[in-house]
Amino acid sequence: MSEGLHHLVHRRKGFLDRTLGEISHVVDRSFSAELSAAQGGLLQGVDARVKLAGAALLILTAAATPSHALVAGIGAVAVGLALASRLRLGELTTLWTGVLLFSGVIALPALFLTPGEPWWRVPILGWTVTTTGFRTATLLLARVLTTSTLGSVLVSTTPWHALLRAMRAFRLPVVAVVLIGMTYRYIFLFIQTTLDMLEGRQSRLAGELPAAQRRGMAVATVGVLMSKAFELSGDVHLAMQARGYRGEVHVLDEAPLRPLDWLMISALTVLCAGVLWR
Amino acid sequence: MAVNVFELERVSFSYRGVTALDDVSLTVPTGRRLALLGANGCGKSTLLRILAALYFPDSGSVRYHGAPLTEAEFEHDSFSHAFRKRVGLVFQNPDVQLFCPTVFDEVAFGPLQLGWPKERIRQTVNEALDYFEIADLRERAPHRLSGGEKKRVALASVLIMDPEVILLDEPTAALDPRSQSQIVALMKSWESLGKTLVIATHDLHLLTEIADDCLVLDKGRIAGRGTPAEILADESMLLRANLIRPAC
Repeated sequence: MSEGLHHLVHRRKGFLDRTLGEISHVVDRSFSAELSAAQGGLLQGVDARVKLAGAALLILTAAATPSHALVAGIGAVAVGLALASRLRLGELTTLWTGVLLFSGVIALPALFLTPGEPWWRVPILGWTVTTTGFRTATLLLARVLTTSTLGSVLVSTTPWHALLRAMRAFRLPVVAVVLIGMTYRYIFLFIQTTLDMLEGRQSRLAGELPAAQRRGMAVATVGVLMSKAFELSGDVHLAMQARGYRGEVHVLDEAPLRPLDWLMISALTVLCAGVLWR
Repeated sequence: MAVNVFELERVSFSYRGVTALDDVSLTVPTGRRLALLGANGCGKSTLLRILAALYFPDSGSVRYHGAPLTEAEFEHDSFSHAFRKRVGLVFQNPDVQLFCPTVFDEVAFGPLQLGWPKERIRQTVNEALDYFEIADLRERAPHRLSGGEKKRVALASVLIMDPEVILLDEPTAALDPRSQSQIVALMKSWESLGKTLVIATHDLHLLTEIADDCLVLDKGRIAGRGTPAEILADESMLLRANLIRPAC
């Protein structure tokens, strides 16, 4: 799929086309995440429930601690785990760039608006960066970078279905987990359907269409997709009914955690609690 | 025990005022293989869904082993479970049928809903994965599979319940020749197991291999019925039902 998609992405110019190009890129990224989750590495061999619990504990600790050093330490652990799990550093740097841009915009005003000791004055503008403002902004950035790295490491080393099962182990209602799983699965189908429709349109076009006509076609595409979505949802419900579904989904129980898994979760819990208590 | 699995009498059905089936009467004898033929939109899929008790007719009656199939009957868990276990429908579009995160979950879905013991489910799913030669796909996401693989998973997800009646909607449509011949071989193997098959298809060249009896539908009405040889010999009827091209 990806070759055809990229071909389309490069040729498209309109807003809808660009958006779809980005969506198709997300699909490709999800595929590469599935591949990295399947390869051998440190975290790929760990039970998804342990990874989910571990990531949640570290994220909570990073979010709760006021210590820059501790957040940086957790961040370093996350990067170390990523490397030991054979994840590409390039993917992490792409993530960090995006995160820094977004959270940087949010953190920037804190540099100047937080009351405190003056630390540095911006030349020409004359704005004053306070010590407290600097600490607040850098702590926010460090937290966001660390937690997003932990999240990325978790989803890149865990197959999606294993992550869903792990959510069930943490008492998330079965119906919610099933809905998330089905939503994820059908999003891909609809992206593929939309791209097929656009490719079909593109293959019959010669030259550029006027903007108004392009907008009309975009609206028509959305309309067709919606009607297909309604039809499909009805058919999926029938397919579920045909196999015995009667309003309540039943799922298989997971195998119990091994003593080693319990040991890892317990050790991490004690460590995080100890660090926060200090 | 009744000789006929299904008996339909003067069944009509419409979608929002558009007639899909009009005054259809037929019987499906136990252990026979019935092919439903007709052009797109002739009512084949609707008829299969009525046989699977997913739709209920606007008028007329449907009987399963002599018992009426009505919405009221399906209010009872015991009846619904017994029927769903004994009658399986494989949809034309496998994407409709494959909604679970992995192939293993997909094949296990039916038995789980029917309340089978968990240990039996694990064992039977593994056997089904082996039988359909999809054991290597067990942890794969269904949306990453090829068309032929999806079809085999869809079949496994229904056949795992060992239904006595298998309803197949265009089982060989949009498949490559190898996948098509695998599916045909499977359908032929069910004959010796005494399964009753109802197959909606366009593929006239497969008729003699996969069917004992044929029913031709045209615009929701029965246009002809007979053995594959009789149906294939009636060119004018096939032409009226848009199943063959007129000679130039």
